[in-house]
Amino acid sequence: MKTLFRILVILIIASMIGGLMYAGVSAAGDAPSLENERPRLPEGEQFRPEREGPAERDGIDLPGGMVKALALMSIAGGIYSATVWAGRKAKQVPVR
Amino acid sequence: MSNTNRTKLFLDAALFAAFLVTMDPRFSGLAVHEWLSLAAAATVIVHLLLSWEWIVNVTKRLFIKAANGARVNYVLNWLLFIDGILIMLSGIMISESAMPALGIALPMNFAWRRLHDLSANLSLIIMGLHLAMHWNWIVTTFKRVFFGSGARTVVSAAKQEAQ
Repeated sequence: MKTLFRILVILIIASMIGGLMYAGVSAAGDAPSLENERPRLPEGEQFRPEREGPAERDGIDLPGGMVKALALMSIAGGIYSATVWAGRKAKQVPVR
Repeated sequence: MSNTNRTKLFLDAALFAAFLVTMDPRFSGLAVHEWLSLAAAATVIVHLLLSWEWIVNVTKRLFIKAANGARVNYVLNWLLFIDGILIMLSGIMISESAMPALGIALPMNFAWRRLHDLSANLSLIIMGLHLAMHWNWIVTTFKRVFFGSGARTVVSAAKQEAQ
């Protein structure tokens, strides 16, 4: 029962935030500028293309999105860790 | 070691793997990308349920006596939650596989597509910070689960997180 209540709380909060976002985007979407910005795709091209099959592509098939994700996360985490480390180091310097 | 910590570690590892796969829809294919994201959203709810005590405790003492680290962590978690909702909502709105399969037809709006890309890129930065903030817990729990060592450090890492 307690768990169900907690799930309900999470879903309600998520729905409220999602509702606000939907309202915001819908309101902005009514503005003519957004409609005009939509690119016109060439005939036959998909809105979001599927991945090409292995036979259609030459060379090594690297998951570029995953590498990018790992790289960006490492950079963000590294900057945070370096900041924390520098803060601790500064505290350790004895006061004369 | 508590079962909760073990469950959390395996759940978080699975969630992280799913996160990485969903970050590359061209590699996984659109159908896998969409269905895996929906499954991951449900897993995030379990992740939140397992951390419920921490969330409640920090919310109660956020403005009174919470440590600065806990405050930053708390704000970062909220940002990640809000960004996750934006990713899911925009993903549902531009869905080409999962929603049509469920018989739901949604109007195409390019703004959602842009928001989906933007929020996904933002989530990488927030996720990197989130992982860095919990790195001690991840390492010590991993060691404890797989090598049976570091019981004390797991406790101290858990205490550090709770502050």
